[in-house]
This record gives sequence, structure tokens and C-alpha cells, in this order.
Amino acid sequence: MAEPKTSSAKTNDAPGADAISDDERKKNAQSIAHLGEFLRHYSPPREHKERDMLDDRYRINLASPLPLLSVQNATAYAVSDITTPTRQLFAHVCERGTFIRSNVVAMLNGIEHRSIIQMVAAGTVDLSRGDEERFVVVYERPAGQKLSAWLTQKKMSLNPHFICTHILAPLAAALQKFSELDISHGLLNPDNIYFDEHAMLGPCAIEPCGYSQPYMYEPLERMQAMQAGKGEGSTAHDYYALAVTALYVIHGAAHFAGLPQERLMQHILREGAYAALMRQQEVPEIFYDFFRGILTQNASDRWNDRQITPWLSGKRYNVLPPTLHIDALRPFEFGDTRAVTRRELAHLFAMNWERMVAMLQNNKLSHWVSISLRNKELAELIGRMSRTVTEPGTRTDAQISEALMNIVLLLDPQGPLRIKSLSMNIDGMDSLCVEMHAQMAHQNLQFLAGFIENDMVNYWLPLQTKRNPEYAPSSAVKAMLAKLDKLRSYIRNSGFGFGLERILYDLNPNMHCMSPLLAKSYIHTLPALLRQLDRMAPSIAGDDIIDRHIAAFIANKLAMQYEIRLNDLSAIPAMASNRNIVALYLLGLVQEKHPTIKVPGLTHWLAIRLLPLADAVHSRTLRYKVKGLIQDVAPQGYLQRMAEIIISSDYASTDKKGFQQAINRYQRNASEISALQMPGRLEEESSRMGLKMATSLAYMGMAISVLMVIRGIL
Amino acid sequence: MKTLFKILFIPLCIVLLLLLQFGFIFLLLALLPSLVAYYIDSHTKKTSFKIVFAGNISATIPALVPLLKANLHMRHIDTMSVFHDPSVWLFIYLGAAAGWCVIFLCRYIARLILGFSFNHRIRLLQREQKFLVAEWGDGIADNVINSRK
Repeated sequence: MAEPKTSSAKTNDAPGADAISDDERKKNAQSIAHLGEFLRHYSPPREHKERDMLDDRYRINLASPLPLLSVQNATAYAVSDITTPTRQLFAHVCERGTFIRSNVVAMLNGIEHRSIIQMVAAGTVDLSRGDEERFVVVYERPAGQKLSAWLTQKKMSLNPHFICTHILAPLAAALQKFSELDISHGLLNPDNIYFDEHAMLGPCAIEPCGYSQPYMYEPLERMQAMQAGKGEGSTAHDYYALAVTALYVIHGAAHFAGLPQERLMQHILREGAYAALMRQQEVPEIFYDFFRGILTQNASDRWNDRQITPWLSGKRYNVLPPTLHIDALRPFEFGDTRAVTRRELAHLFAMNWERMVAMLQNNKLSHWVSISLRNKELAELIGRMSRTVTEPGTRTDAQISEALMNIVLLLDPQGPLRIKSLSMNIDGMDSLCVEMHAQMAHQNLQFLAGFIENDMVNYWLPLQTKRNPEYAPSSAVKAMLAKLDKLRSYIRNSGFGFGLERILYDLNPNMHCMSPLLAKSYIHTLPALLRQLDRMAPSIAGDDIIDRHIAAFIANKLAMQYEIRLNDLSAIPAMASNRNIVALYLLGLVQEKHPTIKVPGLTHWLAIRLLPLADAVHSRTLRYKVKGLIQDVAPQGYLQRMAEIIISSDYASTDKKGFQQAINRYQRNASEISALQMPGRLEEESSRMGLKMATSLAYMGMAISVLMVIRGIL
Repeated sequence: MKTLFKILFIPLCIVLLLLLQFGFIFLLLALLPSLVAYYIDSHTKKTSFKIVFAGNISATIPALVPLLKANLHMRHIDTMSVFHDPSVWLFIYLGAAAGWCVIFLCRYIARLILGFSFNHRIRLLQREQKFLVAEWGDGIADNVINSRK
């Protein structure tokens, strides 16, 4: 039932409810029943969309799951191509709330490359199981098996030539293609490489870049970031993963045994990535250049296709093993640990955020930077920030956190942005935000909002340029900086359409709507949202058809920058602040953009909620008129027209003005009645009037008498 | 005005005494009801007195005219005949009584007229109040009550 359970109660609670007669109440109930009757029988015309079918061509066989091809947030099912039944396909049916790398989907869809798993199609599918919509990506089924499984089965070690030609060369070719497309893979590891006669890169589009990538395949700056906040990065980290994969191929999984993430990070920070990952194990001489060129600490120094392709063709470079430059003359003592490099110290600070303030007392850090690092400029900067933190004053928590973050950033400009429990790369903020929303980590989200609002990121970019004058931000970073700039102008708004939810959709414009109301749908466009809400209208029993997620989703798509203030309704506060009226306004704007979509289900649902609200109008005549118009407009299915009646017309101000005039009039009348009924008033007035009349008569008599006498005399 | 009247009152009396001679006493006796009315009337404007005086003087003037005429033409007139004519006194005092009657009659008529007018106005206002409540709800009455409190 779509009728609100509390409709009658609401009628009584409305400010104008005292004006409602029993007849009007009855009439209201009849109107609501009539509208409800329509909704009960309403079934919107369904788009001709066959279930379990993508693009009218790929049928997902939900009865045939493929566990070996399933990934963390998507189950794999066999797919049959109805035009080419012999094709071997599978589909990843994504879980709800999955972050889709839409740029990767857009780039890879249809690309044919022998070393990249072929993405055949992607889109939303109506699933027969669970009666819900999900995002689905269809791939060609890879031949062979996972590289990790194949290597396990293989008893003897592979010869270097085989590794180069059958594994590294195809993967390098795949990465070259990724590089050309200006995207990264992020999931290059033996569990996501399929091997038949040559290696083929597995899928990577349905999770944040590097989300499920094992830590050892990530360079330090990504390993230090939160899983969802690693960012898109560039193919530089894929080449790094390629080198680690090569180590895995050469030495097997045992090479990384006993190397948990924290220890590996410490090794990398102390010895550098090359030494930490090689673990003093010998590799065939042919690979010396390869590992020394790729396992570098700095991404800008790392080999890419320009060096790898010639190397695979036989060119040798005689690269020296990368050495780690020890920054400090004397270590910085942080508890029991001694840090000898800036990056190591930054890491220690980030891991022990609460203890960091104590380390800044007495300018200990700036002194160390000045003496041990012999960097006066940096020491001065750090000293200034340390004073911000340590000097007594009225610093807010956000200001202190910002200063601490800047100190960590100054020590390690290459590393991720680290602030309290958050650690992310700039281009990973979007996916991190999605993760936080999915996990309902409100505190972290508030923190992220503060981070954006206080423009903490503005410190990061100049540091990159200072560190490396040739630094050019990637397209993902540029896009993120632009998004943050835009967000900052209205992040403080907390009304409907703004707040934490708005941050989510502004950072991820291609994200589907994560509203719990749309749990069974995958809505990523406004027309789809309108149609879905219209479809759902008969079954929504509550009093809210849109929640903060839907409002933020709409506000993002409509690029709304100001909070919704229904000024025309300010005369009737009960209506101006009502969520259903705000919903009507928002959905009306959506329909204005897509006027071809009629939504009678939605208009009837809203009319049922708005009719009792109209009782807030004091004037009976206006109330009847408004109610009549709502009922007349509902069957048309145009929210915009309904919004024009309820929100835009001037009845509210007319009503307020008229009501005030009526009060004044009533007051005047009441005073006049009581004055007329005042005891003795009639006697007094009649006495006064009688005397006046009598005076007139008497003077008239006297005048006649005088005239007669004068006449007699004359 | 009152002071002017007081200043002129004595010269007027002297003039009348000279003009009427013995008739002045007649005038004084004739205007006795007015004198009574003056002291009875408690209103500042002395409206009742003025009305009674107007009636009284209107009835007195016709009897006074022959006396005035004779004295003006230096002719003798038997003033006592006027004094002894009861019809003259009846007429004069009826004039004063007429003044009192007019006062009470007019007050009664005014009461009738105003009573009707008041009731009609109250009915109109009450009808309008009902209409206002029907159109705008009991809220407006509550507002009035609250504002009075």
C-alpha cells in the first residue's frame, strides 16, 4: 500500500488543520483513497529488457557459476552469446556498492589484445535471481589457468628465455597498451594472470585500482596508502608489479614467505625496494637490468616500455643496483626505533600519529633536520609547523592535524597523504570515499570532508614540483584536483542534496546511486532514477521517496551549488521544510531535464502525501483550489506541473497575507461587537442623541415663536 | 462664552427692567421653570435647561410682546391683567413642560432607533465573523484571544 499510515494524523497536525471541517476531512480521505486506488492498480510500462540479458545478446547463466573466475566483489557466471553460441564467455556480476572504474571500462570495452583479457560488454542487467539490477562485465573466457596455479603445478624451474618470451613480453605488451590508453591495471599479480601458451592479464575494472592487489606487488607509496585509497596512479606501479611477478615466477611463492607488510615496508625504507625484494637471492644474470631498472624507489626513475621492450629484444643496459641514499648523519630516535631517512621517519610518524606531537616538542625534529639532514630550509618550515602544534593556543583539532599532515608530507613528499587514520593518494580519494560510504565509516567521512574543506591538499602539489621540477600531474590527479576545487565551494552546505553523500557523488560522477531505497537497482542516470522511483511508487509505504543519497545523486547530476530553499513557501514553514515537497522540487527538476518521461506513479504517490499537507493553507477557498489542482495534475504524470502548483505559485504568500488581514478584521469586528454590547452604551448614546434631537426641536420652536412675534409687531 | 454671558447678564437685566418695568417681574415669574431646569440639569452643557428654556421663552414671548410694545410707545397697559390671566400662565408653563416632554420623548425615540441600529450592526458583524472563521479557520479566533491575553 502506498498510502501513508499517518495521513489522518497528519491532517490533524497540520497548522491549518483546525480549519478543517468533518466534511472536508471526509473529502480528503476520499481523494486519498481514490489516488491510492490508482496506485494499487498501477503498473508502469516496463522497458523491454529481457532478464539476465546484456545488450540483448549476452545471456548470463546464473545456474552456472564459475568460482575459479570469481573475484572479491563479483561472482563469475558462464555467458552465452546468442549470436555466436560457440563463444566462450563469462561475466562478472558485481556486488552492490562496487566501485566501477568507469574510465577503464570505457577504454577496455571492445579492445582486442592477445595479452589482455577481452572485455566484450559491460552494463546493467536485470537479474532473475533476487529480482535486482546489477552491473555486469562480460569477458572472453581466458584459455589456460592462473599463472600461480600453473607455476605450482610446474615442478622444474623455468628457463629465463621462456620467462621473457612467454610471460614478461606479453605482459609488457599489455602494459604498453594500458600506457597508450592512459590507464593503469593495478592488479598485475600471478593470481590475475592467465597462462596458456603465453601470459594474459586478467580483469581489473570492478574495484578501486589496486584494491585487492597483494601488498608486495605495490611500490612503497601505494603500500602505505589504504586499500581503497591507492589511486589510479600510472603504469609505473604496474611495471613494478611486473618485476615482483617475475621474482615470483623465478623463485616461487616461497620467496615472499615470512615477509609481512610492515616488515617489507621497513626493509624497503631501510634498504630500498630492490634489496628488500631480492632478499639476497640470486637471479639469472639476464634479469639484472630488468630488476635493477624497475625495482626503484622513485617512480620517475623506473623503467617503462621504452626500456623494457628493447631489453626483451636483447638489449642490455648494465644498470647498477639501486642504492638507498641515507639522508641523515645521525638517526632520529623515535621511541625504540631509529630512523635514518626522511621517508622512514615520515612512515614512523604516520604509524604513530598520537605520539607525533611529543616528538615535535622543543623543536627536536627541526633541529634534527637542520643538523643531521643539513637542510636549513626544511628545518625552518618544520620548525614553523611544529610551533603551530606545540604552542599553547586555541588551535582546532583540524588545524593541528593539518600541521602534522604537512610535516609528514614535507618529510616524504612522495608518500601518500597521511592524516590520522587516513592514508591516501590524491587520485585515490574518490574510491576511498566510496569504500567509507559502503562501510558507513561516518567518522572517517567527516574527516575526509574536513580534509577537503580546509584545502589541505593545496600543500601537496607545490611539494611535488619542488621535489621534481619535471613533475606533471597525471590526468587522474588533475581531474581530482578540479573536483576538490569545485567541492570546496559548497562542502559546508549540509542540506538535502549536499553533505557527505554529495561528496561521494561529486568525487565519483559515474557512481551508481547507493541509496538503500534503491538496493535492488543499479541506477546511474537520472532517467533511470525517475523510472525506477515511478516503478517503486506503489510499494513505498513510508513517507520518504527520496533519501539523502538520492538527493545528492540528483544534485550532483544537476550540478546544484546552492541549498534548496523554497522561498515561495516560506509563508508556510510546515510546507517549506517538508521532505516530500523538497522531493517534489528535486524530482521536478529532473523531469524538466527529461520531459519525455511521464511518472504517474510518482505523482500519485506524492499527491497522497501532499493533500494532507495542503491543510496547512488557512484559506478554505485556496485550500480547495490547491487540492483540486493537485488531484487534477496527478494523472498527467508531470512532477514539474505539480511543483508549479505546490511550490511556485503565490498562494502561500496570498494565504499568509489574507490570514493576517482576516485576523485583523476578526479582531476589529470582535472589538466592535463587544463595544456595541457594552452595558449602558445604548442608554448613553440614546440620551446623547435624544438631547440633540430635543435641542433641535426646541430651537426650531423658539425660532417659530420669535418669527411669529416679530410678524405680529410689524 | 460663559464669562461673556455672565458679563452681559446684568446689563441685559437692566435693559429689560427699563423696557418692561413691571413686566420684568412677569418675565421672572414666567421663566421660573427654566430657572428650576437650570439647577436640575447636572450636565456641563446644560442641554436640558436650554431645551426647557427654549420652550419656556417661546411660550412667554407672545405674552411679553404687548407689554414691550406699550412701554416702547409710552402707553399705559394693565400689566396686572396679564398677571391675572390664568390662560397666559398655563400657556407659559405648558411651553416649559413641552420642553421637558420633548427631552423625554426624543430620548425614547433615540433609544428605539439606536437599539435597532445596534442590533443590526451586531448581527452583520457576527455574520462576518462566522464567514471569517469558516474561511480561515478557528485559528483567527484563537489569535484574537491570545493577543487579548
